[in-house]
Amino acid sequence: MNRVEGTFEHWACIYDDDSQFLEAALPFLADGLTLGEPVLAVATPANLELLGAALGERSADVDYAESAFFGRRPPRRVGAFYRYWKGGQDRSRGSRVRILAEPAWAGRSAREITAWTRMEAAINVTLASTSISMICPYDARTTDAGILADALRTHPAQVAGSRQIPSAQYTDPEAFARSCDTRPLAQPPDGAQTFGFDGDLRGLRRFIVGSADAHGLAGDRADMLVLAVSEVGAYLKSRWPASATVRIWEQPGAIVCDFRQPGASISDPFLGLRPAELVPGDGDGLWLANQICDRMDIRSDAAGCAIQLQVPSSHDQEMAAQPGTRYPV
Amino acid sequence: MTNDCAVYDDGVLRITNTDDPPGLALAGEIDESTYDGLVGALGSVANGSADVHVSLAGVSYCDLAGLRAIVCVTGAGHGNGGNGDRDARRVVLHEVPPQLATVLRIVGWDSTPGLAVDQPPGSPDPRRGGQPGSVAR
Repeated sequence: MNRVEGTFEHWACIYDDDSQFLEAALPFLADGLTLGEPVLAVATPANLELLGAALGERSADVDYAESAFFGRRPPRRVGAFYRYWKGGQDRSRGSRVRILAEPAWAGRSAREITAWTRMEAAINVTLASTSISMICPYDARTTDAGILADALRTHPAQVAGSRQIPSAQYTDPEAFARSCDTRPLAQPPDGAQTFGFDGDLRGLRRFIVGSADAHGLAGDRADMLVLAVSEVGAYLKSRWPASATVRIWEQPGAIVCDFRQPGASISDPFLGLRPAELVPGDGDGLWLANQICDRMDIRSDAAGCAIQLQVPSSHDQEMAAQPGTRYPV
Repeated sequence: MTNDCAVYDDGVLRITNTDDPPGLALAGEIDESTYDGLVGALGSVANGSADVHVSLAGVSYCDLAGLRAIVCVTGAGHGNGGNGDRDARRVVLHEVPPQLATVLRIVGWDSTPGLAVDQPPGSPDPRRGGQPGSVAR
């Protein structure tokens, strides 16, 4: 099949008002429609309204989603982009796919902002083989200066109107991602449930089933946690003689599962961030784990490597009210 | 309908032939320890001209590598994620446990050309478009 390979395009659009937003977003989307390309607009409700009014009848051909709900965590956003691209490839036989992808920043913690910014850098690598053209609008009226400055580091170029301006501040994505990984991981508290993982994946799954139950997770929430944890165990086992200490505990808003593998080191900052294909790739299972969990953080130091997963705790009322809403997007 | 003779059984994963429709029924856990047994059994039904039917009703755990092996049993995904040849014979998954249906959706393999997921009557997944009891492409 003749796919367009290696042509991911990724622009930032920092705008000060509605007209600047439309000057960049409208031709980008309208040109895609003219070319018959799949076109997706992910933006704030206010900007979606602006686009709808400006596009008129043509808006019926634009797929859309609200920023806050299209992939609630960075890896899921990437997963959603990737699935949209794949679906578009199937429908339009290998054409490019256009995505307007406005991030949502309001109310985010510093840790979340780092995760979303890191994702902006990572997709330059992890989506490199897709034929997606993406503009990421940043609203300068409501977005912190630090986030805007990072946008110039994580996008190879900016758009202003129809002009494309290479970003002099663009930073090597790997170096940028590493600079995001300085925050220490949570330390397991005394009393965390502990399992010595020696390569017995079935034993590991039994441990997680029991722990999930103890923390009030049942049904598909327990099943999906088991899947994520087992894939992490399988990855460690595939790379090193497994001798990891696995601990699980609850902290406000999350169940945390922590692997510590002495003597191991993970140097790839994008491990688990490349979409799993039918052709096997390194870290596929960690991509799945990343799609399931709210967070997956990886650190290596002199002592070894740590992989820490987080899923919502049983007290999460959104999951309680609408089972399954967090999967897959 | 299955016959009694297991083509693979290591106490963790049990695989039996099915006659109608022709294929395999899997029961137990699929991970790296049972992967070779799975691949061997899939190989025994991979060659032929008919669709391959795989019942997953008894699968309590299946990792991503195992799921990939099942999805690709008839050659779907060779090349770069499916060659789009809609005349090729299909692999039809039956009685897919909910968590595996979710995984298929997460990784996007549910839309693999040549893969069909049989929707059991009375329990249509609202996130899929198929009619109850239909075989959705």
